[in-house]
Parts: sequence; C-alpha cells; structure tokens
Amino acid sequence: MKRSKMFVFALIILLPFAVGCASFGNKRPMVFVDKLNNIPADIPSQFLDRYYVLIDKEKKEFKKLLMDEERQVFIDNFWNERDPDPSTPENEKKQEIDNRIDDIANEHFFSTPGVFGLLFRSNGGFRGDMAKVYLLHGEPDAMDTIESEGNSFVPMMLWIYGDPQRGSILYAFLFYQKGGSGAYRLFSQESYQLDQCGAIYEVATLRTYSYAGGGLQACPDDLSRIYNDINRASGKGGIIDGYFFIWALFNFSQDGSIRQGEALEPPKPASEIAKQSKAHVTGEAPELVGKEGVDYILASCESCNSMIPAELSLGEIFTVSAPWKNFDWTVKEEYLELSLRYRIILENRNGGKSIVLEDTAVMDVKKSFLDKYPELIVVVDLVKPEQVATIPLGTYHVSVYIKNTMTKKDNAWSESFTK
Amino acid sequence: MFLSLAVLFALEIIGGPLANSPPDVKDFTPVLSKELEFRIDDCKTAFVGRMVVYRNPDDPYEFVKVYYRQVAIVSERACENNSTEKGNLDRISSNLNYHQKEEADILDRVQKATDAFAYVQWRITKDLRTGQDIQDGSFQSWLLEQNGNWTFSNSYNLDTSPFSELSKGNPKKITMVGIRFSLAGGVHIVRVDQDEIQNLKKEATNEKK
Repeated sequence: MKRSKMFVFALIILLPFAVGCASFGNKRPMVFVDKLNNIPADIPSQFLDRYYVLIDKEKKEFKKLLMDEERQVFIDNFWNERDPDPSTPENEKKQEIDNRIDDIANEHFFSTPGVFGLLFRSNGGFRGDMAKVYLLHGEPDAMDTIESEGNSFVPMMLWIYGDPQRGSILYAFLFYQKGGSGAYRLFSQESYQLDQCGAIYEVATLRTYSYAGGGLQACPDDLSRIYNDINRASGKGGIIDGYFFIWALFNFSQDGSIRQGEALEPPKPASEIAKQSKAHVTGEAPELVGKEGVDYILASCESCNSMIPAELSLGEIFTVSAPWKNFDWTVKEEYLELSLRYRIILENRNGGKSIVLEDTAVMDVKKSFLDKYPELIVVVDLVKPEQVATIPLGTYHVSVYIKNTMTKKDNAWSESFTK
Repeated sequence: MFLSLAVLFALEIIGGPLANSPPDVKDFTPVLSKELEFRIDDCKTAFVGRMVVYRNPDDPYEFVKVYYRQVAIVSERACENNSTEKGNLDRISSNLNYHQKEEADILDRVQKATDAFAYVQWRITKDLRTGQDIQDGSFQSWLLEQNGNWTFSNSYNLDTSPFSELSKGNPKKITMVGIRFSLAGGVHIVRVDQDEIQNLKKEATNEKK
C-alpha cells in the first residue's frame, strides 16, 4: 500500500517532465511504476519498454515517432489489432497484460505453495526470464520447485501450462539456478535435445564430472546418479515430483510440436490470426456501384427487398415471368439489362439419371419501352425447347433456383414435371 | 441462351390485395426474435431470414409471429477438425469472436432489406383451472407464395420442413439448402445458393496456397 502511493507520487512528479521532453523528442529519464522490478509506467514514450514481450517488427516503426500524439495513434492501432473480442468496448488483451504487470509489481508468487517466497525482483525483475514467461502466458496451471537433499543438483522450478483440449502439457518452462545460486533462469531444452547427458551435466551442482559429450550412452555413472536423484526428488509444494522435472529437462511440449523459442516469441495479433483463419461469410451482394435510377434500377414491388416474386412455368419451355418492376436492372445507355443466374435440378422419380441445368440468362430491354408499359410482364426463358426436348421421358422432381447476379435477390420452387 | 420478351398486359396484377390481408404489425411490440438459420454441416450455418413475435400493445392477448426473408448468407466457422490450424483455446475463442463479429455485421447489413413472407396470428387466454396462458381459438396464417400472392388459412398453422436437393459438390449426395414453408397448398422456400457453399471451399483453398 505504502509502495503504490510512492509510485503515484513519482508519476505525478515525473509525468509533466516526461511529456514535456516528448514534445521535443529528447531522451528522458524512465518513469517506473515499480522501481524494484524496473516496471516502466504506461506512458506513450515507454511503450516499447513496458510491452516488450508483445513487440516485434513494430519496434523500428515506433522508434521513428517523436511526438506523443503520433505515438498514441500507433499504440491505439497496436492494441486494436490485438483485441481478442472486437464486439466488446474493452481490450481484453491490454487488460490481461496490464493485470500481469500489476501481478509482477505485487510479487504475485510470494505466498504460492511450492514456490513460497519467490520474488520476481530477485529473479531478473521485469526483464528476467520469469517475468517474460509470466507476461506471455500468465499463471501456470501447476508450479513447484525441487532441491537436492545431497546437493547433487541445483534448485529447479517447473511451470506447467496444460492444454485442456487435448489434456496434455502445452508448455513446460523449467527454470534453474545455474551453479546453485542467483536468479532462476530458463533452461533451454532445445539445446540438449541430442545430448541428454549434457542436460543433466548443466543442472549438476559440481562440474567435476568427466563428461565430454556423446549422449546418454557416454554418460558417466556420477551423472546417471544425479539423474536418479532428480527422478526421486519430491516437489516442495507436493504438486510436481522429480519425474516431471526429468521429463522437462528433455521436453518442452508433450506432443513435441512447440519449441520453447516459439512460446517466447511475441504472439501474432488476434486480428491477423483471424484473417488467416478458415472462417468466412459469403452470400452478401456486392455494394452497388453508381446511382439508383441512373446506373441501376431496383425492383419496386412490395416483397422485392430480397425476393424476385415470379411465376414458374415448366412445359415445352421452362420460363419465369413477372412484372418488370419485380426485377433489378442494370442501366446500359438506353437499355436495361437483367441478369439471372439459374440452376435447375431434375431428379427422376423412377431412379433414372438426374439432370442439372445451370447458366446465366441475360436480357436487354429498351428503357423507354418499359417506361411506356409499367405493367409489362417479362418472360425469361431459362431452358429453351431444344434443351427440354433432350430430357428423357419420365416424371421428375424439379428444384428451380434463380438469383439476380447484381443484387443476389432470389426465388426457388420445388415442382413436379412429367414429360 | 434464347430469350424472349412477351408483352402481356396483365388482366389481373400478380400479388394483388386479398380480402384478408396479413396483419399490420407496424405498431406492435416485438417480444421475441431469432434468426432463421440451419446447419449445412458441422462448420457451416446458413442464415436465410429472421422470425419475430409481436404483441399487440392495445390487446396484450394478441400475438403475431412474422417470418422475414433476406439475401441468404452462409457462414463457415474455423473448425479444428477440418483445419490444419493448431492453437490454444484463447486463439480459437479469439478467432470465433472475430468471425461472430463479421457474421453479425453482415447479418445487420442484409437484414436492412427483408421481406415478410409468413404471418401467424393467435390469441391467448388464461386457463381458469391452471392459471396458465393457453391459446384461445385457432391460428390465422398467411403465406407469401413464390409468385407474390398471399395464401390465407383460418385454422392451420404454417408447416415447415427442411428443403434439400442434390449436392453440387457431390451429386450422389443430398444436401440441405433451405427451409420449405407450406400452408393450404401454398409454398414458400427460403434457401441458400449451393454456389455460396462452394465459394467457401474455394476461398479456403486459395488462402492455403
């Protein structure tokens, strides 16, 4: 409580100074919200430092900006692209990261079983490995530490993130105190993928073993004993035992598909991922180009907003007919053009072969002619007599679908047809 | 394609007013609204219109259900089972949020131009025995036929059934493409274009490339 008051005070004192400097593009002192962890305050000029785990290619571009106003525009776009739910006014991603930053400032793990007394500030602070993993992935699903009773291996801490969909380990971040003391740093499983004995050598307390590489087969007995020590160890919190630590020395994700390096990269913006996703919506008519009455004429009947009310006729010729005002037309100089996409499926009721007829019917009519006869009924031939003649004799179930290619208004029929 | 234009002065205008016209719900209060949608498969949903139930503000026992049609759209969600995309739940949920926003925006646009094609009117009353609301009398139903004429029934509710046809992608299969409404011999089909289902497949393939 005392500390946060001090930070607010520091902000009040330093903010005008910081803003003043920004206007002139000068180098200015950092403003921290937590000096012990070196957490930068949320002000435009410190954007790169505060959100460093999320920033990748944007860094160069941001550095070119000298004024806080232009930086703020950049920052707003940055967060908009990362908003996981564009339908809500909040930006859940920014909220999530800011909450994690607060957690680091408040030393969130200090009282956590298994890692009791763990402090970010003692482990590299805001720029340390622990903070980086926490900022990117939040609180682990399980965490614990192991220490060697006989001092054969260095203290290790394991953070496990589960994949609830597959019920497996998504990430296993293993931290260790190199040499047995100091800050917890990330253990790189990738470096020891082909040298399992080397991994044990790395976490051994004393480096006097006669191992000079060569994998598990060439592993000296001393190191094999350390392997067994780790395997037998129990987690301080009783949450994760040594078996999992051994596993995590050689593995990062359970199905092996994710590398540690990938899990530490800045995540792609949600909007970019969504664009690459297979999700699509189709069917909407393209925006009409031009002016109504000049470039196109829309149907004016009562039920013509989405529909083409028309009469279907199936006989020696297949047609649809309706008053011309039931259709949408494109203006082509002194002519009006009607374009209907149609698809007719004839299913033989006696089990014969089905017939599919589809095409686009285009009709041009002089505009003056239509103006002269407002009640004129237009008949559009879908299937001409020669085509109908080729249909084998029989009784058919016919599905007819027509759609205006300009506005996507449509109509459909389900009829019986006997030839 | 041979096309002809027949100049026919209609003796009777198609879709002319009937003695029993559908009720005017302009001043009614909407009490329930839902999309007219159906699943094409596990990942694709077709939206063909909207159903709204109105209550008469001057007579709270009178209700009218109106079915509106729209330019149909097909929405395909990113299904994990047909996708090579891998990701955690956050990513999947975020993708879904973006997709739902796109879906909602497009629905909002296409539903600016709708046509009412079916009405069902009924009254309720209190059951003296149970105190529950029960229907009072019969339904009055109206259905717009494909030619623009209204069919009316004084005793029947609308009948709805799935509307299927041979699949364009696989002619040996039948695929559901719409909903068929019928009333006293009159029929109205609201459906999607099979080409739009094919377009989704094409777009996905192109993006893979």
